[in-house]
Amino acid sequence: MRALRRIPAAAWCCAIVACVNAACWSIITPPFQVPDEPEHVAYVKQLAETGQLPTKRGKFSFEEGLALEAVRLQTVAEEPEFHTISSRAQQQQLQRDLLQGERAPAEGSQFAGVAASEPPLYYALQAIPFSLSAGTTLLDRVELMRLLSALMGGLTALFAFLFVRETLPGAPWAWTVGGLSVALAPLLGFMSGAVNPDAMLYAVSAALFYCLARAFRRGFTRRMAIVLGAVTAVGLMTKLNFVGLAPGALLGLIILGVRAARTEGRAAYTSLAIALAIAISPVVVYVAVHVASGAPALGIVSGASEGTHGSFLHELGYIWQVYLPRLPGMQADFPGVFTTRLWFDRYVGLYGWMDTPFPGWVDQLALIPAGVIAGLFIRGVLARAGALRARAAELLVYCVIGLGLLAIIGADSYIAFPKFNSEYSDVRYLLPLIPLLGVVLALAARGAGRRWGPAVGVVIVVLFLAHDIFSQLQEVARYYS
Amino acid sequence: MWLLARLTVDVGPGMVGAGLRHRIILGRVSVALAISLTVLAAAIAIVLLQAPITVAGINTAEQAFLGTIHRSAEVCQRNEALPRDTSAIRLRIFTQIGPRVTVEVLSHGRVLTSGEQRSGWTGGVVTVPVRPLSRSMSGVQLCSSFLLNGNETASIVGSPAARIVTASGHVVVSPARVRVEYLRPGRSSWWSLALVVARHMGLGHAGSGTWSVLLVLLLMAGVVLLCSRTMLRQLR
Repeated sequence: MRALRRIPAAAWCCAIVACVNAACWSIITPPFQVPDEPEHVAYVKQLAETGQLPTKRGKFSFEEGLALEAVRLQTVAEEPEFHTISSRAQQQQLQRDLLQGERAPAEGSQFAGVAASEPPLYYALQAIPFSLSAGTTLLDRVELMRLLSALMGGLTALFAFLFVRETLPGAPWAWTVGGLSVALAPLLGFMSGAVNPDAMLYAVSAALFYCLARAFRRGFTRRMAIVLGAVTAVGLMTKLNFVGLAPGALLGLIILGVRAARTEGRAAYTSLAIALAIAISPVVVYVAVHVASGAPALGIVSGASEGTHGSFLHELGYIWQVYLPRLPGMQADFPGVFTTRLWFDRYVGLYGWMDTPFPGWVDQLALIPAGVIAGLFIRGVLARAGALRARAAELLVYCVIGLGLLAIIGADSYIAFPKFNSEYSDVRYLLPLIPLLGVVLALAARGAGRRWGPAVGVVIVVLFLAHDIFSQLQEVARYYS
Repeated sequence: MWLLARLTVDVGPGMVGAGLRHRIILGRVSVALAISLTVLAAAIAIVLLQAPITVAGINTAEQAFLGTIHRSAEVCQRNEALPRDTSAIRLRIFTQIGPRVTVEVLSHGRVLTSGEQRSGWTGGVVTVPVRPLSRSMSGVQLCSSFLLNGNETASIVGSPAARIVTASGHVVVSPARVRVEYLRPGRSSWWSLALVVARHMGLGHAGSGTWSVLLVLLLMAGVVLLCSRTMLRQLR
């Protein structure tokens, strides 16, 4: 409780803004019109009703199948010319179908498609609102689960604020710029307003960034070591993509441990060992359970590592080109496509089942504020180059975390390549790095100088607010016009 | 004058105390917030005064899978009807990372209008903005170019029955008609459609009802207020 009381009021404000914003997105976005939401709901249903994990094959439960048909998922998803139900008659049919589904036996949903390979922690948490709302329709339960995700969105903004505070301790006013901008990021609202483990992954990743920054600044105590190990373990139990962040987290633990050993001796190594043991414990337990039951060591996850092809160098070149222009000597895997721009455009706006973009001119217009912010950020960094050099090890850890995530997304896409090129070029996968965006924006505001920095910070925050509001309007236009 | 004074007063650290300096910064923050929110409100109002894009015409109701293009190709289809004021042409093509697409609408070999969508789009449709024409044109030819590179592929959807297509380049589809939607701004503005949209938003959700729209508006107003208050208190 004392630790909670020490959190600044502005951090709580950021958390509330992110939570409320995500709640709005949860109301605006029609049920199941978020990538893979039907599969994630099925996972929760299976876990809550049977206590067992789902599989990749089969079909949705009777209740969910009925609901998906009633809300016209197949017709509307990826089909921008079709809207959600828009007449009283359709609504009455939906109500009838939902009530019929509600009366069906609670038999879970053995099928969870792409979600089946994900670890169960997020779904276990979602099983709480799912079970508490027994006796209501599936859409009511989905909305309640979305609200739990919205709370996780609030945690993301809270930890992002605290991360900015630890990384830029000399400019308290800039913390709010970073925290509020993160809280208003429309993609965070969109994903945190849905049933999707990404919502929790963002919160855990933000907590990891904060804990690392705090440990680098205030010392690697035994308590901090346990917390860092626990956060890493929670991340590994939340979503597979956290595997990309884990090498950076482990590197951070090792650097912190070795550094602390200079003053504390062997006690620091003990803390390090405890942290590492906690961090990798989910992986150890997971492998042990599968080996003991005679299954492949990586269980259902092993499917994701199958099907790799091509040389390591080609894979490396491919991953590079997923984000950046091709270098001389690399095979052209994305000819005619400027992938960096592609990521930018998709960040500017691509909602629903990746079927709701802004008009092209908006992407062009967005280059202007992005360029100004980039310029101010560089100015802010150059003005503090000395301080950055003193924190090189900490920066290295953040870089490894970022590169690890980028690499795992690229490597995942490579599995499907060339049948599907860059299947995972979806910006939501990069959002675990959103605390870094908070720091970039805070530094950009500082780049404007002490006199104008706060005013520029206001403009940045309102820019994010505008982006958020217009993104919501875009969703409204897409589904309800 | 008040705004100008608040923005331009520049006081060095040696001239006044920290209190005054903070007040000046707070003044700038207030002005920046007021201007930014005003611009935002004006932008929202302008957008809501526009009319939503509507489908003015569809060339075929069919949505059959016609085949996959593996290399750059141009597909031309005759006997298309171009509604007046068409501002964009939407083609049914599925791809992961869309290639550059150009469209040309021709009449007797003369280009009436054309447009281009750069590569990088994704999903099951590509919308190509074109210059609107003031009158409808029938019997025109629509030529679409898909500038595929490397491993890219594009799956075409439309009507397999109509045999009025000529194609050049490497096209694996049999003579067929790509499904095309002609888009143009509707007649009513978003403002005038607000009630209809609100009614639609109230359907198909948990706890259906138009009240959900009011709730979203209230919550977002709360977000704006809380953000403003936090910035005024912290950014100094």
